[in-house]
Amino acid sequence: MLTELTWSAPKDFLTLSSALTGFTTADLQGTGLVDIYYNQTLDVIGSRITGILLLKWSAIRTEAGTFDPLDAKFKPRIQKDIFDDPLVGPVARNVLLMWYTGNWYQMPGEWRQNYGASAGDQPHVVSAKAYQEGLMWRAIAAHPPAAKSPGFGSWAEPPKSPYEV
Amino acid sequence: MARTAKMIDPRLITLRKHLQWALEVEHFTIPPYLCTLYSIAEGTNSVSTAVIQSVAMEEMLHMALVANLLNAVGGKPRIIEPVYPAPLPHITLEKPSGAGKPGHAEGPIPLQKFSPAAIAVFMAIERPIARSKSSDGEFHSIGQFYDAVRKELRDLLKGKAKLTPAEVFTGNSAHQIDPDYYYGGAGRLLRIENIKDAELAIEEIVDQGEGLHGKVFEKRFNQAVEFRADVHDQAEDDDRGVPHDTAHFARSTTRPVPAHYFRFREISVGRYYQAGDKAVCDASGEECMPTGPQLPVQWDAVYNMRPNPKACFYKPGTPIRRKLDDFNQCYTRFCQLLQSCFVGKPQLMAQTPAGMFEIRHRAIELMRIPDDPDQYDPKYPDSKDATIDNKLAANRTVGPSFEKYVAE
Amino acid sequence: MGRAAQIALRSLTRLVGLHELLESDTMEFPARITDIQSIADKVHDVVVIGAGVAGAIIAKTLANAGKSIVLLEAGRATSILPERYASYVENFHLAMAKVPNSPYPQNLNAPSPSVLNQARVRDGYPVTTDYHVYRGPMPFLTDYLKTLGGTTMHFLGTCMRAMPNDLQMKDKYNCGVNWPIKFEALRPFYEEAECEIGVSADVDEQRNEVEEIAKAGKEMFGDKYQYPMMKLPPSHLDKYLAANLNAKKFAIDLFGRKYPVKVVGTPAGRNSMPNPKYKDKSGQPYRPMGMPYDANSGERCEGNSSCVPICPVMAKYNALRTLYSLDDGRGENLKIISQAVASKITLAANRKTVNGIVCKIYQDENNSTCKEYTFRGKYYVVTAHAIETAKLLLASDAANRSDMVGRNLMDHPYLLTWGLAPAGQRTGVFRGPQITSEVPLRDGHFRSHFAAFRADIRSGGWDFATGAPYLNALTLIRGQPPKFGADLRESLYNEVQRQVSFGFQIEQLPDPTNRVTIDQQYMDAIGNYRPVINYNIDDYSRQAMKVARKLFKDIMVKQLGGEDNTEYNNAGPGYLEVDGETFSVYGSGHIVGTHRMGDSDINSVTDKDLRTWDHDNLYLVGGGSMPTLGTANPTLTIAALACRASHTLLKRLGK
Repeated sequence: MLTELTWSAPKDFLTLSSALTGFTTADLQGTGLVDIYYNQTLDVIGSRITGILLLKWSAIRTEAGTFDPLDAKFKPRIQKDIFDDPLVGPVARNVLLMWYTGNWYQMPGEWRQNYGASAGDQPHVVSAKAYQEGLMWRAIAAHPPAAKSPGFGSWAEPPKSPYEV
Repeated sequence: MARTAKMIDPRLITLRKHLQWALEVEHFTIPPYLCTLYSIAEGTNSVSTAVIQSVAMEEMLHMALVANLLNAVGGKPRIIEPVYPAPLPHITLEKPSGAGKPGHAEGPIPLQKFSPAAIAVFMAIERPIARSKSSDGEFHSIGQFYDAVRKELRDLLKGKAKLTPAEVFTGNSAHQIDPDYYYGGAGRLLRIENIKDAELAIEEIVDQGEGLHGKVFEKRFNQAVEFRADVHDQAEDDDRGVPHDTAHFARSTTRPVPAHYFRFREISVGRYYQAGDKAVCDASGEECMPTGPQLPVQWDAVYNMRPNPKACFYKPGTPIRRKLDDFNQCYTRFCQLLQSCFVGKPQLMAQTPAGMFEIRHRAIELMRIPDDPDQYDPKYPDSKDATIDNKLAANRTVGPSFEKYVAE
Repeated sequence: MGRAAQIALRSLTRLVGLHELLESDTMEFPARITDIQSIADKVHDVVVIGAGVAGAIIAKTLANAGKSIVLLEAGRATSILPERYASYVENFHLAMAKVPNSPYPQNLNAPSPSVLNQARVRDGYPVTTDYHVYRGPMPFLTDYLKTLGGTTMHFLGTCMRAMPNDLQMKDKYNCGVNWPIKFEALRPFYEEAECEIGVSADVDEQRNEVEEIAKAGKEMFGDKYQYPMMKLPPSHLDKYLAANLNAKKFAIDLFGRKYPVKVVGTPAGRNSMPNPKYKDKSGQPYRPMGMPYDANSGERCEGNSSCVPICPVMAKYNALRTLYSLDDGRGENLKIISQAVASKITLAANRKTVNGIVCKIYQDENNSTCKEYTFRGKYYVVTAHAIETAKLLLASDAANRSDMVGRNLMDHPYLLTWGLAPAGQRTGVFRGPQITSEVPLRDGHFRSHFAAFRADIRSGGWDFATGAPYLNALTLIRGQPPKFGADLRESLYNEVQRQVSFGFQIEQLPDPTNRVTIDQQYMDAIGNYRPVINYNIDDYSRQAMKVARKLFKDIMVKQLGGEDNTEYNNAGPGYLEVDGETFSVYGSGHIVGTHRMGDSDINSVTDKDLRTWDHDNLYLVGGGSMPTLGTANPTLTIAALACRASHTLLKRLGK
């Protein structure tokens, strides 16, 4: 569970989140959840492992010499240096899942076995706002049920294309 | 082009021009209200949110009523996207007696966050002043302006040079927006096909608005007081004592009767009016304080948007610029949709709720995005907004700019 | 909503949520006792038990006519205040399992069943993990809700009429039983109910559909009837399906007859555009009612896509709206007491009449301390839901000369099917009301052989079937290699935008062995019985599942050129087999039959006026009154029966 206080997320967390989700940094900031998700990750995963994840990302960026996290050339490096890494790979997936669903899912059993479980590593909805801002709803050109209603009759129109939303 | 039809009466042309102005005035007020509304942190300031939202919705109703009026008299409404900050178009707001004192706004109307200053601007827009004919040919309040329009309309239909109703109401009735397209706020949309409808429409606008009208100022205020009395009674005649929640409950279920100005004043001073309160003190002639229950206002539960944002402050291609461009496209599409509705396709009104909801969702996103000097476009020194104290700027967010989007 | 409603509200808030108000510091517990005691000291015209749709309609109609009414509700009146209603919405946001009761906190003193606590009954051991006890062979797979407003708080909003043949199953198809009334006796009350609830539909579309399949269009709707509101706009998916079914005259062959398979709008208690052709009884046009406490919300459906379990703006009807719209000045006639659990109906010595309702009133839903009060009226109406009404009668040894109380329990087994439209097709799912149209097979000669059904065209794609879009996101992100970035966005979009899912609601026949009983082994926190349920789905319904399953496959593959991806899990609580084929069903919450009306005191609990055969002043109104279920969601029929019962009671009470 989150404490009342939250700490500002470092820029690396924001840009990594952008690269993972496929949404711009402004899209992510528009959810109001950057700091909350950073803190959620610290709470469950701890600062040491979170730090390793961010360091790896920062190294990829520096090497690539571009600042746009959505640049396609990051893709193979993220796959190799982050997702294929048994320590930080599952963490990156969980951060990505959190952005898409608003839920914290329990870390995979193998990861918990190898690196230790924490009490906060239980499946839960991070917050009501997190539910409302789940990026998957935007990715599928829809909206979360009981929030961000699209207005009378909007459902009769064809859905928007993937990047119109 | 050779035309055999007789010349259109110049008075009718003036009427149409003034109705077009009215459309511009109503439109102009909406983005500032929405901007302030969406800057309020979700789930906070429930009373202020309800008040600003209800006023914004009434202004939208007025826009539709004006479009119906203008269509009825054979005009062609044009949607013109306002640019902020700017003075209210076509109307020079008269400075009230308290001008210069705290709570009174002067100068151009900005897009800004929920704050005492924003509420002061809204009060200035909605301030009731004694009704009188404009002496200098200018209009000094929205009410005075509508009075003039009403008189122009009446004058057309009487006297020596009078026109027949058929000569005035030349519009195509198929262009009228059907009442059922407006819902969810106070008041009703009307189809306008004759002078009776037109009078009702103007009455609806003026009545809901700033409640000007000399004496009506008093009447307006009395209504506010009666309305509070309802709540008061309930608390009094329930011997177990009703907690504040319940009083608020009864209040929020009623159509808000007080004129806009008084609703804003309640927020401004953080108290409700109650029975026995007066608008103006007999002795000093100054505005009285409301003496009802406290109205909690959380001035800091707000996104700290920078005033009057512009897309061009940010470099093309930066995430913030793209977000603002998306917003402006959405707003511009909405204006185009309204334009089509007003000039012959009223059935397209069915699509407007989706547009309004989209504007809202996108505006709230912009409210949360921190302003980022790294994304400023050096071509526009305004970006840095030199007037802003650096300390304030630290938590500043981008905010919605409500600009007409022009593809590059 | 204007001044009238405001005044009604002011009176209502005096007693509704009495206990909610207690939470404030200004009120002491003894104050409440005095109030309730003073109500218990009087003999009222009518005591109504249960503030769901039936109870609310009866209470409002009688209070408007000047009668004094006590309305008892077992649950809390949480939603009486706007902030509290919003707290339900937040509960829903925060729930991992977004099931129908997820917004509404469990109440230990007035418990509701939960679909999360249901399991298969194995080796004859009863399942006791839910509020209900399930004795099998199958668990009863559904829920309901105890709170002010009842289960309408989480219902879908579908408001369709029964079909005339649903009321004459024995005569027409030699199965089930007949109702003691014909459709025409119900029709005016359907009209009344459609006004009370505010139903959106196109009467011509409905009439033509019924005419085509059963030649009953005029019988059901007459010539001139209009619904209060226009049909809700059909979804993008509805239109796509109609273009491939209706436009291509797709049909199904059953026992040598062809039945058209087409998309038809579903009448709904959700706010749409008012119908300009509609006039109510007093000649007034219809004005939709939205959120009673916020004039800016709910006059039209906003497309929140969460009809079940909660409409955030109350654009979907719930029974609170009925209570809030009492006539001007009538609030004083209606005393609503929440947190009052009816535990016994007491009878006069000769058993001919009821002389009181004993209630256990609690203050805190987590503390079983209660105080008993007895409420008295000239008449008593139990509108406490099919299962709870039956339980109360059994616990009171009342109205059961026929031994029919609790028997003939029915629901619509809900069979999900799912598939994908062809690649490149966008179905536009996850937007708007959860159902706007259906594919009906509601009547025909096949009903001599197997059950009729209607297929909801689910606007939530595979949500119920697989847990989409969460499951899609999980699978893509936890896949090897994982999807991320633009690739993830596009994959997710392309997967979800092809989803199509139907939910078949299958008719069930009355079976006396499907029943609610009580057993002293199983009591709740405050010493009331928990319902014990025996339930099965017979071959009549199971055969229809095979037809439904094949119909969906034909639609997906032959008509749309897409895929059928339906695959049933044989571990779920709703697992069953039909001729060796595996199926899995859910319930629909359409719970009926347990105190049915009839022509004779031998095989029914009430007469056609819903008065118990055994007790002259006791009426039972609700889904339990329905002798057969048919294919309609029962809410509108329950409301119509409530309107009819109100008239009966008014006649008996005299002007």
